[in-house]
Amino acid sequence: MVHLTMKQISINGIRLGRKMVRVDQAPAPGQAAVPVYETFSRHRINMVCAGLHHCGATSFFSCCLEAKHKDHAAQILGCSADLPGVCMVSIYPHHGNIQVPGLLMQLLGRAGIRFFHLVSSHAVVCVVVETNDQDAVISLLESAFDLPPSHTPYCQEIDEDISRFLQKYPETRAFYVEEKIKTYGIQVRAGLELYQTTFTQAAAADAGEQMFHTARSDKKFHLVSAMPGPEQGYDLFVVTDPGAGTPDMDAGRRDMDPGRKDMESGRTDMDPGRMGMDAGRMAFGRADMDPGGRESVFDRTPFRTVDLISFHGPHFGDRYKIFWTAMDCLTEDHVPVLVAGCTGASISLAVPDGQGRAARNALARGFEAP
Amino acid sequence: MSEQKLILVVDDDPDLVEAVSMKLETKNFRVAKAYDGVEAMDRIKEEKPALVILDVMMPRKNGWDVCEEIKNDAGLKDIAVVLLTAVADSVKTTSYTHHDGKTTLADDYIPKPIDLDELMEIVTDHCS
Repeated sequence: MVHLTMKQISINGIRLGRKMVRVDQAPAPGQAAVPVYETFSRHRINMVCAGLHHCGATSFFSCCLEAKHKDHAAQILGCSADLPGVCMVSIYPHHGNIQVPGLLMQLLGRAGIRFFHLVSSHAVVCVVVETNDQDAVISLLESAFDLPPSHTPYCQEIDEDISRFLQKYPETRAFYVEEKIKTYGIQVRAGLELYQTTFTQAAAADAGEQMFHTARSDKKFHLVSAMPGPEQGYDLFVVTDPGAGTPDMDAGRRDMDPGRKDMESGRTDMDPGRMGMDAGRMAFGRADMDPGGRESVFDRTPFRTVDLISFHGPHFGDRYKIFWTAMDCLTEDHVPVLVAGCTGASISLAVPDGQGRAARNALARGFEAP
Repeated sequence: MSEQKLILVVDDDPDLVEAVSMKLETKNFRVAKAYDGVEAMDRIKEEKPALVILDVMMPRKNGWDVCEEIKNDAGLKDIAVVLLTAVADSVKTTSYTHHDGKTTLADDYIPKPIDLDELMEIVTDHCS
């Protein structure tokens, strides 16, 4: 495994979200359907995380709710079957290092663990998996990432003392009286690159590995969102700095430990392991150059240039209506959303190149930006 | 050129830590980060920051307890503490008492949801 020769990636922690259910919506092209995020907002149901992919005429939406909303959600959606139970595992901070989601996908793929959503915020990468897989995912993360010695996976629990205290001084009080939803600022990054690919469950590890090896220290990612698409397989969208798809020929050498680099510096013929690593990197752009016959999932050419709107607000993760408000503002101003990812208290929206400013103006109707 | 002051940002919301850190870096501060109270105390002892921006509700150890530890430690008590508090309306002074008897010796506070520009002013004042 290539990554074993490299320094472990340092992260600060693992967070857990337990007892959730998953809801997907994939209307057929041309079919009108009330978005489930609108339905949930009208019924005051908060989505813990959400993702929306638009590609051509097709769209796909997926979200997670706290399990306490399970029956209510099923009833308003008219579902006869139980909504599937899931949990969320998050790692932070990612520092925009694309190796973090890449490694996460590799780990899940190699272990045969199916994920239902992988989504990032400014600092966090979250993955939604079946409840039964949570412990296995934690073990994988603990073995593959460099965590502080004192770290233990953390699950937010309600502190009864503080809850009683906040009943008198509610931290979320502003929410109930604010005319506009408060944010810590709406950020627009223009001219970023959106990469899009589709791959099968069996190729998830390869996709992660290729993502891992295309990482460049000078190019960050700003949004990753991967979900099972309407067809079999995953749709993966990655928004990066411009030029992230251009191979950095020194990257592999920089990542290697010094001993290995010295050992190889005098060699003119590559050993098979190293050949495989470089070939994997080349396969980022050229499916026909993968010597292992594995599915190559990336194209080095960006899918398109995009502007990315991201914002973050108090208790966004605990409040309903945030995502719908954002989508409503943008729809009203005819700003199309290509990819949306929400987790924690953050929302990221990729819009076509040049429409970032229009998107921010549209969002200003529903959100207060200092 | 003056020395860059080190600010420790402590909050259990990693995205907020990131947002505050980015803002501090644009103001030419060095930034350290912690995501819960226990980790905050470790970083404070190791790195002796000039100022700590400290959330109140956090896992493992809350902000009140962290603040108390800092201010009761002779080696740390000079570190300025700015609390990110949800109870601003009940705060009348910087050494304040809550309705249930919780006290803190924080040097300053800023109500949540925070205004980043206001926070920068507070930090700059305490570090100047």
